[in-house]
Amino acid sequence: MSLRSLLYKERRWLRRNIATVLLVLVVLPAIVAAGTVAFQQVVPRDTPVALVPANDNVTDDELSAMQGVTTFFSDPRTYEADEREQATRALTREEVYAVFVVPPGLLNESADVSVEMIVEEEMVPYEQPSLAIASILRFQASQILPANVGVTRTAIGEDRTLSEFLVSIGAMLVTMLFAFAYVPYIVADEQQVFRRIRVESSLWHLLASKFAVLIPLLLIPILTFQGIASYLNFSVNLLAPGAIAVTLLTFVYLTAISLGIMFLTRFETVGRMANVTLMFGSLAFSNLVYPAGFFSPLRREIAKSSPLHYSMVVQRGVSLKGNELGMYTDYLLGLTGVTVLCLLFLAGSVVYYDRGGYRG
Amino acid sequence: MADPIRFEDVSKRYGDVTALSAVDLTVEPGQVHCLVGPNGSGKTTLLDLLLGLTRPTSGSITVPDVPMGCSFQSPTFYPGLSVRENLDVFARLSGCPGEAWRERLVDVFDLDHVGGQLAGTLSGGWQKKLDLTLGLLNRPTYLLLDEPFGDLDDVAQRRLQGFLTDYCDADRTILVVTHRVSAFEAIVDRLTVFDDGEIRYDGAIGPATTAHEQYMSSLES
Repeated sequence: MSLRSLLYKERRWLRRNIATVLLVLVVLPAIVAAGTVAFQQVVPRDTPVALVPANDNVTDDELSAMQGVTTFFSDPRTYEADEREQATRALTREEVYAVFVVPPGLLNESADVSVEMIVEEEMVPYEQPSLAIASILRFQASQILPANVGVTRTAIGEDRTLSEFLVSIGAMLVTMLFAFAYVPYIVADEQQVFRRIRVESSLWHLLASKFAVLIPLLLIPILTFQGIASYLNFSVNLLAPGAIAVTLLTFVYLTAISLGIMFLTRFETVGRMANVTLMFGSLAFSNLVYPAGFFSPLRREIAKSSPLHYSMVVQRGVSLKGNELGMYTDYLLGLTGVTVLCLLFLAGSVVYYDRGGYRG
Repeated sequence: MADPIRFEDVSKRYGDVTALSAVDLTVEPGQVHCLVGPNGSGKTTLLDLLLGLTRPTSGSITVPDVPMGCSFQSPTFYPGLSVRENLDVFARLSGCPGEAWRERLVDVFDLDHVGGQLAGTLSGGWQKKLDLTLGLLNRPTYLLLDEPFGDLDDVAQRRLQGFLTDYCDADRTILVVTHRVSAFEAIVDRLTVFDDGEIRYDGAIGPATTAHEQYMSSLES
C-alpha cells in the first residue's frame, strides 16, 4: 500500500517537473547525439593485441621475435596455433584490438613472409592507428627480423563511422549523467521529508519507488538517441534488448553507488561533489571511447578493473557490432555481481543513515 | 483505552554528548502531556526515540500498537508538490480514515486558501499548519507535536488550542514538546521538565500553580 502511495507521489512529481525532465532526458541527449558528427579523428597509443601462430611450423623463437617487434606499439599476448578462434573472439570482445597471424620463417634470411593483421571495422578509433601500426610493424620487422616481412591488414565486421561509434557512447554518457548527477539531486531535494517517510513508511519503500520510476524513465533518452541516430541514417541499434538490458543494469549499479554516497554523507554537498568526481573519473578512466591501453598501460589496467568498461563493451557489441548477448555472458554475470554489491553498499549506507538519527 | 507509552532507564548518547540520561517516563492515555525544557535539554531526542527515528544507547521503550501521528519542529513535506498534492500523498501513506476528516483538518487550519501553492513556497506559519495537518491525517491515538505553535499567529494558535482540547479525550493522547510551556497553560494535564538530558519534574499541574511556574521552579531547584 505504501509503495503504491509513493508511486502515486512520483507521478505527481513527474507532472510538476516535466520541463526539467524534458530538458535532461530529451534535449540534452539530442544535443550529445547530434554533436557526435563533429568528431572525426583519434590519437594512437599502445593496446593489447593477440599473436597467433599461422600453423604448427612456427617456432617459439619466431613467436618471441614477433612478440619483441610488436612490443613497440602494443601489449602482445600469445596464443597457440589452434587458438585462432579464441583470438578472434577476444578481438570481438575487446580483450585485444588486433590479431597478428604470425607466419613461419620469420628468422629465415631467404624467406619472404607476410604477417596478417586482423582488426575490427567497428572499432573506429582504432582504424587510423591500426594503419599506422601496420606501417610501423613493416618498418620494425625489416630492421630487426632476418626475413623479408610484409604486413597485410584485414578488417572484419561492418564499416562504421566515428559518429555511429560515438552514438552508443553518448547513450552511456547520459546514463552516467542521470545516475551521478540527476538522481542524487532529486533525492536530496526531498530530504526534508525523510523523517515523515521514515515514520509513516520507510526509506526502503521510498528508494523502491524511485527505482521503479527512474529505470523506465531512462528509456526516454535511449529512444531519443535512437531517434536521432535513425534520422542521421546511422547503423546502430540502441533498442536491441541486450543493449537496453545492459544500459539499465549499468544505471542501477551507478545509481546505487551515487545514492549510497549521498546517504553515507547525509546529503551534504561533499556527497554531490564525490559523485561528480566519480562521474568524471569513470568517464576518463573507463576507456569508453578509445581502446583500453590507448594512452598508457596504467590506464589499461584501471579500465580493465572498471565495470563501466565492460558495460560499454557489451552495449557496443550488441548495438554497434550486432553481436549476440550470449557472447558476453561472463561480462554480464560480472556486472550482475557488481550490481548486487552496489545495492548492498546502498543498503548499508541507508542503514547507517537510519541508525544515525536526525542531525538536521 | 490505549496502553501507555513507557520509557525505562533510557539513555541516548551521540558520541561524547549525552542527550538523555537514565530517563524513566510514562505517558498516560487521555492526557495532554507537555515535555518542557530549555533548548538542547533532550526533548526532541526523546520524541525521535519514541518515533523510532533513532535507537536508545541503553534502556527500553514500550510503544502501543496504535495509530501515531507527528508534527516535527522543522516542516516535513514535499516542497516541490502543492499543499493539496502533499495532502493526497500523505493521506494515502498514513491511512486517512476518510474525506470528511481530511476536510475538517483543512478547515481547521484554513489550508483551502493555499491548496494550489507549492508547499516549499509557503511562509513559515503556513508550512507549520500543513505539517500539523499531515500529522493528524490518520486520526492518531497518540499525537506527538514538536513545538506546534512555532511560527503560528495568535489566531491560528487559538484555533489549534481549541482543536487540541476537543481532540484529546479518553482514547487520545497528545504529547507536546516545547520550550514555551506558557502557550499550553489552558490545556496541559501533565508536565515533565527536562534539563541536561534528565527529568527535573514529572507530575500533574496542581490548582495552586501554573505550568510555567512549575517549570521555572523545577529549573531553579
